[in-house]
Amino acid sequence: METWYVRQRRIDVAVLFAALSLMPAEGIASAQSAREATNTPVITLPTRRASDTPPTPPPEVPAAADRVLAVTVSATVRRTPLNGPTQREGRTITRTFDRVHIAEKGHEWLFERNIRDHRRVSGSLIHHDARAIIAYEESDLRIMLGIRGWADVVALGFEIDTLRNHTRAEETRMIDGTRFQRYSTRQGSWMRDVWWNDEQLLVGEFTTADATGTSRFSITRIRDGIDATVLQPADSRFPTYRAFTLADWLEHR
Amino acid sequence: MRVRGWKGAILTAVLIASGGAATVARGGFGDRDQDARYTGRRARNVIFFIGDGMGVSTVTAARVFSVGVDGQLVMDQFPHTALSRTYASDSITPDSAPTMSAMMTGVNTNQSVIGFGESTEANDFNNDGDGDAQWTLLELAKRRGMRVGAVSTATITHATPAATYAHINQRNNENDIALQALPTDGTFNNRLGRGVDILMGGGRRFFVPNSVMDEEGVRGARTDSRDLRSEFQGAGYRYVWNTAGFSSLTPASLPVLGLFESSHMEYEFDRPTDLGGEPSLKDMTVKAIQLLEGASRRGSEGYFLHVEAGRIDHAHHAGNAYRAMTDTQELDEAIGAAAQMVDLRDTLIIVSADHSHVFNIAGYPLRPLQELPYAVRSHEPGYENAAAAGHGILDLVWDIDQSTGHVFAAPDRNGVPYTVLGYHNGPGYRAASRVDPRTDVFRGFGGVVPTGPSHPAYFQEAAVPLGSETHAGEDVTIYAIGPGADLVDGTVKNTHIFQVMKRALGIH
Ligand SMILES: [Zn+2]
Repeated sequence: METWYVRQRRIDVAVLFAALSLMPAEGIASAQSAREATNTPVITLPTRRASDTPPTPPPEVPAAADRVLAVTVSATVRRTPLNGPTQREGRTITRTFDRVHIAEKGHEWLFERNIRDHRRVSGSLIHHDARAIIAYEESDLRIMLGIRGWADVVALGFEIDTLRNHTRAEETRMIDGTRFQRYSTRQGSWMRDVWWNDEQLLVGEFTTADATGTSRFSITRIRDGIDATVLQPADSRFPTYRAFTLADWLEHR
Repeated sequence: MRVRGWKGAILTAVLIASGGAATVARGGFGDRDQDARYTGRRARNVIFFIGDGMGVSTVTAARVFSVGVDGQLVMDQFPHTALSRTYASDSITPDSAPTMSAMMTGVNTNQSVIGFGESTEANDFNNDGDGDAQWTLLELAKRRGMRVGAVSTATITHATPAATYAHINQRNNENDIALQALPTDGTFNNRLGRGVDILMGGGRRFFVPNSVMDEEGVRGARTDSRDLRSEFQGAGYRYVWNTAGFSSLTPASLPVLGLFESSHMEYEFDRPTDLGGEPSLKDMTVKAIQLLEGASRRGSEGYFLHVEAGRIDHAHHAGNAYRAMTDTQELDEAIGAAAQMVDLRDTLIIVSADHSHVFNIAGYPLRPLQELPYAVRSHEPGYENAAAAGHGILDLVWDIDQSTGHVFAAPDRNGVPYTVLGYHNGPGYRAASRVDPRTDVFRGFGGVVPTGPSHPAYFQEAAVPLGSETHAGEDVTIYAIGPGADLVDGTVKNTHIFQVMKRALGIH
């Protein structure tokens, strides 16, 4: 295939042949420099496709988030695929106004509210089998885990802004002294059966559903007080673990 | 006789005019690597772009995505190209450490090793020492009095930029790599003279103690309690961390340390969400050239600048072609800006990749409706939107029945449509039974269920289930323009790039 460059080079050669036949020898050098000056390749900046709409900024955090009590929560996540048995996982969650620690089988998560912008969050995954600590920055959390900001973390994975789509019902339920209000959801909503405490920003239970099955998060126990050591930076608790950014963890073989 | 390049045309004429039967050496590039008699025009400056993980399929897909299948990226317009073999000394398919080391020093090395030769193994696991540090082109340029800079959207201590200024047997020791660039540290790389003039990218965490929250509210990662931000300033550096500081930089600001993110910088698509504001790769490239050009007095030695689009690789590892496309497009924007700013008669620009990825352009996808040279008789719904899906590259494979003129989604052997782009392995594995990508509820980036394969959250399908998609071992392309670019030709080992840059600058 003939490119602009090949065509240009052929023209160059043809022009030079013609010029050489007319030119005294001493003229060649100046012709060279003139040609070099005019033959600098021209780069054309292409017209590109229009940009897509960028991601939305992190959601606003309710004012109550600054006043939540330090608690230790036991919770269960039940995942029921369309075809297959339900899988059940237990979690121990430690929550303060600016940190959330989640202990799961084989690993721990520590999320820290951003001190400059309280809508934002970063996290560390402590991977005990691999003896590694993997840093998740705000955009890593958003694009890999769907965590849009601190609002999603402080509410333990429940998206507070979806309450707008629900209707507050009369029914309430107590778990270890904390009262949860039932919210009814519209038919066909992907989020169902929400039990919510507005003052403590705690979700007692919620179910999400999509075409692959359902997931139900439910709190089984709430205790006042926390084990503060789990809220320490991960590398100070596990100084022998190797530290990675998420991208380098993915690079790691 | 065969000569290359716009300059080659002149050379042809001169040779004919002199009546000589001289032949411009071509042969193997191994020959030219040994040939110190290169008499081409010297370059005053060299700009070396790397698209991390930007294999041939990535460039092709990004071309279709950005400018259409018959469009021209900026790098496509470069007159000289070669194929580059990327293997490491100990591996068929490499990581970025040995490949960038090879391109920067002319010496191949082993996986995870930066700036040493092939007898150096990762972590010195044989306890036999690392041997001699190889000279990098940036160090050689610095020794000659040139200005030097490294710019990346990855951490500035990441394997690729680090291979311009550091020597270490484990790429992951980024806290230590940062110290090698700090002129007042005991482990400073003395070959850097008074230091690298421009260091701009991500990786602030490796400059901030782990007890301290940085300017964007993220904890540092240094375990030695040292705050290198202030130590670099103590060594004469101007330190900036956001777009405001970035915008204020002038040639008088040099040397400059710009750390715009705690970890890697944002993907280009996600950049508008950043807290402090981040320059784009194009912004950083333009600024770096302005500073280096401004600081290099007329007639004095020129500059060497390395620019890396570090996150094409990361998007591929995550199995998300969308961000690999948008970051490759941004790299091409940066290359275009550079090519327009500099004088291509005295500045050599080289573009290449450190390795490829297992990223495929599959099937026989029909071009979008608006691009076809003929009218179709009928089509399945959705085909009319293919143009908006990155000129069809982020879409299903559409096919046409050549007897009826009907366009349909090409099926797999079970009758299920499939996408143009895919990966051999990675997180996009869908298990045994595939479903139509248009109704696929496989959670992609952010746990979002994408609305089809052109959605930014879509994970392209993968054949082998891996947590992270992998690099690939095929050759990558070298693109070159400017003085010395005619040495880029044939099929070469990536070490040849070092020889080309060195030869063009007249460094012996
Ligand atoms: Zn990689």
